Amino acid sequence: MNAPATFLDVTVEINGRKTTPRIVEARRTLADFLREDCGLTGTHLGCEHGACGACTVLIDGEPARSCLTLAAQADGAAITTVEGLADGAALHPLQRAFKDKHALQCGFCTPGFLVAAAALLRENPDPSELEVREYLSGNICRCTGYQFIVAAVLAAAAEINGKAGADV
Amino acid sequence: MKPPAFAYASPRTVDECLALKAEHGEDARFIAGGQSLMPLLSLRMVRPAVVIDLGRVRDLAYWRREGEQIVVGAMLRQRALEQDKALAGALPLLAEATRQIGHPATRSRGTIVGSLCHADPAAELPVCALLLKAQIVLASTRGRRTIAAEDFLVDALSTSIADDELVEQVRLPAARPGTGYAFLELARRHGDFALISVAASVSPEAGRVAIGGLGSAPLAFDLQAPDFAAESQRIAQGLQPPADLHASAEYRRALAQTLIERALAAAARRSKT
Amino acid sequence: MLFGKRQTRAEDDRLIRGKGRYVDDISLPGMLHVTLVRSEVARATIKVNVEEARSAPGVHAVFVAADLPASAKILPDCHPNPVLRHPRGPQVLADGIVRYVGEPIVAIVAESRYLAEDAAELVSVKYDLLPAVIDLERAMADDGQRVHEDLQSNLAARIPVACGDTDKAFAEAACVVRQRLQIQRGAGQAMETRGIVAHWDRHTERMVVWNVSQVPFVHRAAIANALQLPENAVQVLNPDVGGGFGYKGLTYVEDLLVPVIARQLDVPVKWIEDRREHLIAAYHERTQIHDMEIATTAEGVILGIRGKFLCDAGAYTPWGPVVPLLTAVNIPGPYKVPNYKVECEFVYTNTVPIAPVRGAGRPQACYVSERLLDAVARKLGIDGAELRRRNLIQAHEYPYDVGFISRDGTRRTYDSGNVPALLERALEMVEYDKHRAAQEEYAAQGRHVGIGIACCVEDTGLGPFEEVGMSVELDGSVTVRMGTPSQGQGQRTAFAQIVADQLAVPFDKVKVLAGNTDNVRYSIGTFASRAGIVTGSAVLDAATQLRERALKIAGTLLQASPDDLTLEDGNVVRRDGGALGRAMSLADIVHTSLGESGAPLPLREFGPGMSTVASFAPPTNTFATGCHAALVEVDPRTCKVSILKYVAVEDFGTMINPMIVDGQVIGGVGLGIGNSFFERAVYDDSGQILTGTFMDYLVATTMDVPHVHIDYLATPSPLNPLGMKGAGQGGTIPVPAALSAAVEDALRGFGLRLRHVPFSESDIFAALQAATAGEAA
Repeated sequence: MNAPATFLDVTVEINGRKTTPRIVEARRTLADFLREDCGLTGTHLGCEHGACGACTVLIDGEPARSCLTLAAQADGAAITTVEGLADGAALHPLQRAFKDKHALQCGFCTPGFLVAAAALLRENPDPSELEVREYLSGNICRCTGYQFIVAAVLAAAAEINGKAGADV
Repeated sequence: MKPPAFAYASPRTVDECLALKAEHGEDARFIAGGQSLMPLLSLRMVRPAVVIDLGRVRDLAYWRREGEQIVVGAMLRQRALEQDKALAGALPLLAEATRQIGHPATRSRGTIVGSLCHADPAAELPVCALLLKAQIVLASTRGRRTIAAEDFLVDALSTSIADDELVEQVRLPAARPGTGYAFLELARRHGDFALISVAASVSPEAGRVAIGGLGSAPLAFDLQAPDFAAESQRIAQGLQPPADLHASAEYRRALAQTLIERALAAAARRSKT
Repeated sequence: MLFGKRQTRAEDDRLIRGKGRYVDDISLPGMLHVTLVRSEVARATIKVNVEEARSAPGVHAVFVAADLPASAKILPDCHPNPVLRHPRGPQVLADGIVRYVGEPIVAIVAESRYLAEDAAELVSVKYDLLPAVIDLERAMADDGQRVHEDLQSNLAARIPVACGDTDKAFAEAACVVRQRLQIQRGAGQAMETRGIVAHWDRHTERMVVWNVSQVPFVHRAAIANALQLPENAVQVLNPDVGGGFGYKGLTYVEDLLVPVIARQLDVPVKWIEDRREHLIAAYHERTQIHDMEIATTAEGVILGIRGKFLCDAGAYTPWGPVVPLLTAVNIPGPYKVPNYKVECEFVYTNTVPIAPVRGAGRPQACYVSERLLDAVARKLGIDGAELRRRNLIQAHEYPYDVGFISRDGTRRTYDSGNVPALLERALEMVEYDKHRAAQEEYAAQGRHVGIGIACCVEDTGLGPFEEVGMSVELDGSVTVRMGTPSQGQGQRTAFAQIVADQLAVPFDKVKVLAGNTDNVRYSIGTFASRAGIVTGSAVLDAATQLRERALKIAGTLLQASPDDLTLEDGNVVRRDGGALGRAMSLADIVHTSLGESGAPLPLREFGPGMSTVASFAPPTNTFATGCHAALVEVDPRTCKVSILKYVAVEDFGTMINPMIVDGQVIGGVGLGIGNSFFERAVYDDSGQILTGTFMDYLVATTMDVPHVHIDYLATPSPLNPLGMKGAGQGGTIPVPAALSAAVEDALRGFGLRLRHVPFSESDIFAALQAATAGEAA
């Protein structure tokens, strides 16, 4: 058994790419690890106490608040951040829908909404408006009043479902 | 808002967890999902010397049926109650309550046992545990003991866990045919801690309610008569809920009465299906 | 034509990929991190010991008040106004005394934020407590406790606004209603907190400051003054900013402190405010207590409004008396109020200073006038919509002289409007008649359904001016430079739409640059719903100048009359469709007019290139108007409110991009819903702030903001060439009034009276109890 340590090696896979091991202080949050150690500043810190959702990432496919997770806890996990949603130049349908539906203004909360919405559509590809609203109720936006965010998620779901149908 | 310095350990077995906890005692905190502990750390309201991560311990993220009991391990995430239909079917009350705990991104990390251990007076799962007379299994290097939820939940943010103990599992009775369950709460916003929450079970023979949001440990009451309106009034009148930023004591008492009555009615309806 | 089109935004491609750059994303080599030790008490004399913190691991420096230069000890009033008789600027670091919880006392500079926070815990502050002045009414009682010891009282300013003869109006009135109404403290709480990165650029010998300002030129002046540098030795830059909402349009002590630290240490430093600090130390707004009365005829026609109100200033006045002034002049709203007399007392308390937050004094004004009208309607038995019809300024009465002097010192005159039409459209959209008729039927079903209406005006597009620089580049692309930065309003998009039309270039060939004090010579900033109008009009002017210049140069080169030419798809063409001597693009014109290296300039009469600077100075404000209607259902047992339908009908004059305006309206309604139900910054009697996290300070979520049904009716403003009116705040202003009315209406059978916002389920319960006990007037 490893004795308690104040610094640890952390290796994670981020957006499909494995990082080299990094020495991280035990108290470092996953959010700070991603932003400062890995240079992925798309994950934003809105409150640092788990009440706004701006820092939402996927840990092994499940949505999580990176401010409420230690980097040490994520050692060995696969992380998806907003930077990993697009496939190269090709935007994720949610990203396209966010632009088309004017689902962002200042853009600060947007990465958290996009990642949370991606998790929703993975779980529930055809959500109702209420299901979208419930799922995203832990993400705060001060600019949009949410209406166009909800519309964008529904539009992206329709697009994904339409495509899935066409592929079959 | 950054956590204070601490040392971190990620044991692989329960025995290793218990040895570490025995060594560091109250200076050590277990972290499971971290959804309660991390805000406290970031606000520097707790300062453990050691944080022991349960996330890599083998065989804690389980649930299984043992006869009439559902046994839930310390690392089973709250989301399992939404995503695992067999579990939700066996624990419909917890499944209903879980949808009102925080948000998907907190439920995917937060654990069922962790919520019981944190014992927030307005949290949902302690209310369910109390209603169902759950049994809490505590482990330490000294051995294991099992105590009733009623004895485990001492007060707001206070349980009967000793400094060297780990809550290894919680044992809950599986839903019985002919018994209906319901969980109702009112929060300022969806996902917030409840102003008042009520869990109810109703069968042809008995009715029981448990109430959260009282500023203390939740309280449970067995019905003395089948008149829900009168019983909800009787129970609510005896409550001493707190006043805070979000609601007065008088409002909480009145709300408790309404929610008890409605939860009982919903549970009674469900007992017949 | 792109003008008026729902153009998707030029800003979004970066932001949706997580490639925005916000201030916390900026990192410079060797950068140190600042954290602040803030007062834990509301009022005390203090003794500070920082010795232990100085020697903590990773700490490079510790600053206390004595370490600051004289020029950087007190924040100057960046918005002086003679009405403010007793201005008091915030202390950059508290010097011997603290006046609110959260006031900065010590700055720690360390290698990481983690280490800085560790060291901050080692600072010892000995507080000698003094009684705190918290309650607004008691602050004005003469019990000797003063926020500022050198003042005779806690009165910062007394603001009277009047017209007509209210005494006569009230003496002759058939109906007089008096109400005490309270609006509680709220905050802007953008998703991005404040933050600053500052460093001394050794190459340009300038202090370079990245911050989240809405007013970079104001900040440049304040920083230069604090550092005793010429203004040209300070550059202020704004990266992507995560929401502004007005309160980022002010100067804060950190805006001076962080550059001072960077200058003294000669290293780059970063300060990022955390959410707790943002909740307890970023300026608040809204707190007012009104004692108002309205006089009407028996038919409900307003004869006069009079009364007094208290407005909480907090502990200092960093931005003059703007908020109470705006309330005082906005109470008459879109109604004819021939006799008006209000007096505001702007009062110091031991709390966070207040400053404009989206709406800026107007939600309070709207709340007061609409609540008075609802009371009159009830008293006279007149339907609320009908009562408003009888009192609204009619379309033909615009421009309308309100009768007194406005915030900007001009006679308050509504330039254009047609609020009666907005009202009728809102009633139609909310299906007012249908639901009014069905209310008894709903009641019979045990459903408690109510409707509320509120109308408002908003003074927008304030002066004095904005300046825009514009150039056509060698490749025919267009660069637009301006002083008004964006906090999410989509300026890169909206202004590019104007330019693309005027210069006939594709939208994506226009680049709009803002957020850099080097961009233009002078600027005021983005606030008060002004950038779209004032900067937008300057953009139009600059683009028009360049268009005319292009056609003149083309005319010379092609030996044609400029009047016969026009621009199409980036090329000069003949208006009559005829052939030109040769093809000529905007790029060709730039090339030709710039000449060849080493040769004389070819078009000497024009000068080189295609570049200009334009400015626009509006004569006075233009007035946006709106009417909102809410249909709600309330459970009288749990007191939970459900919004069944929300309608916003707005008159923002001509709109550049209705999609962006939709976003402004819905987002504004979202804040308004927070102001109605949730958002409350609370102090206890000792001045401790109880709402220091997002678990206590509640903002509306996806589950709280309903679908907002929007329509627009435009009365273009005559005060600017585009006919625009500001759209930034209209969504917020009427919401608390409309929702209060709707909830009261839903529970009218219980005699519910709501006298304050926000109101929670618990507050509705208490009001119901009071009504049942017969306490309601």
